[in-house]
Amino acid sequence: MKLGVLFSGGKDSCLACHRAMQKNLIVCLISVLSKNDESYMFHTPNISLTELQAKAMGLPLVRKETEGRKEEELKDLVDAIEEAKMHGIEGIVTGAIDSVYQSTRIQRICNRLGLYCFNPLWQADQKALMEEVISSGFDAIVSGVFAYPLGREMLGRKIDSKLLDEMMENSKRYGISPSGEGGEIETFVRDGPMFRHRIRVDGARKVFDGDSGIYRIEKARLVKK
Amino acid sequence: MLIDVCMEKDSLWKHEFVDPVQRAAPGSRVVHMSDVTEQDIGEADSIIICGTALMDNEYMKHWNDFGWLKRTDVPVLGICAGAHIISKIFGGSICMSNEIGMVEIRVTERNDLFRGTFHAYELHNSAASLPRGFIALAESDKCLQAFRHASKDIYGVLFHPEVRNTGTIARFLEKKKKDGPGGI
Repeated sequence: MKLGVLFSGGKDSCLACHRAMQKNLIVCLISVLSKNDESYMFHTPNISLTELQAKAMGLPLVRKETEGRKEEELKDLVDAIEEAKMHGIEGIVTGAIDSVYQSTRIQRICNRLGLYCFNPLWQADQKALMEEVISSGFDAIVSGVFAYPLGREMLGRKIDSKLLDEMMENSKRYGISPSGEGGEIETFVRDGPMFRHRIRVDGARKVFDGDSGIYRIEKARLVKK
Repeated sequence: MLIDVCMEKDSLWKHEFVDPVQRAAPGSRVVHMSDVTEQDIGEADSIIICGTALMDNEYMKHWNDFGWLKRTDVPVLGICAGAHIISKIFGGSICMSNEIGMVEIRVTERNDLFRGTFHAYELHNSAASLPRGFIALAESDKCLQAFRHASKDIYGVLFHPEVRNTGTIARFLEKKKKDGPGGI
């Protein structure tokens, strides 16, 4: 079955894409670029770099901009998925893990458009997913932190077993999700098993405000693996 | 034993519709509907028939593979597509009814799996009618949400208990432990 992947460039959509590639043919990535940093549906830091990630994976990217207003951004998502139909997709893959809000809306859109919907990370154990990200060979970094006690020093760090241990400790002490599913962290994937090239970040800036911060990638390029 | 009714064996949907049920029923083994044998049914201490994706209606071409439901004494829980299958096998029918997302469920008959009014995750374009010999247990504004065989531990739930309501699965499994030797 030919599928398109809703792609934010973070670890969850990359892992969902990786799982989907084991069973189906992925023919395109679909990104919605939100101008609103507080987007209800769409991961935002470095979203414009999905184009570079798509090139690294050798896949076409369908991208749409949205103002990021609560339900209006869903219309932009519908437009993006409609456009992705030109690639012959029969279904959509998402990286939703536990968000009923997100999955409900995407399921409704797919149902209306006559497309199958796949959520291969749905309800999965979040620690196990983080371990799979690490063991599958993804090179993902923290590109945003949005919850105490996650600080400036976390920005730009690679997701490895040491970081996972810290997230587990934070999960026990502060109740934050170990994989950041609650929006506590955002991530950016520089390399992975389906990447033909890896991404080298040549310039980035940490922007911190209150208890949240973004690792804004300003310069990045593809390099040979 | 969990029965996977997704379109294909070991499909991408297994992650979404079977694995979460398996996490709520640790140690259970998964068999795809195309591989279920009379021996599997005979050896199981309890059976959960899992759901599948919204537009995946492949299981509706395989009603005949579930004739064992009429003969078994094993506790069975049918989730969404599983509830459709149970209804159909016992003479009920399937009708169009769409619910996607969290929906309020009202319990209409006291039972061992859930009580009161609660919210549950729904993902269906079809609902099942109450077959003869079954008791309605719960409803939503749109349709019948749960039913039970009048004399056997055969349950159908239209909602997905593996999302936000894993206690329903745990209580179904307790029932099995009370009545049987254990192991699934």
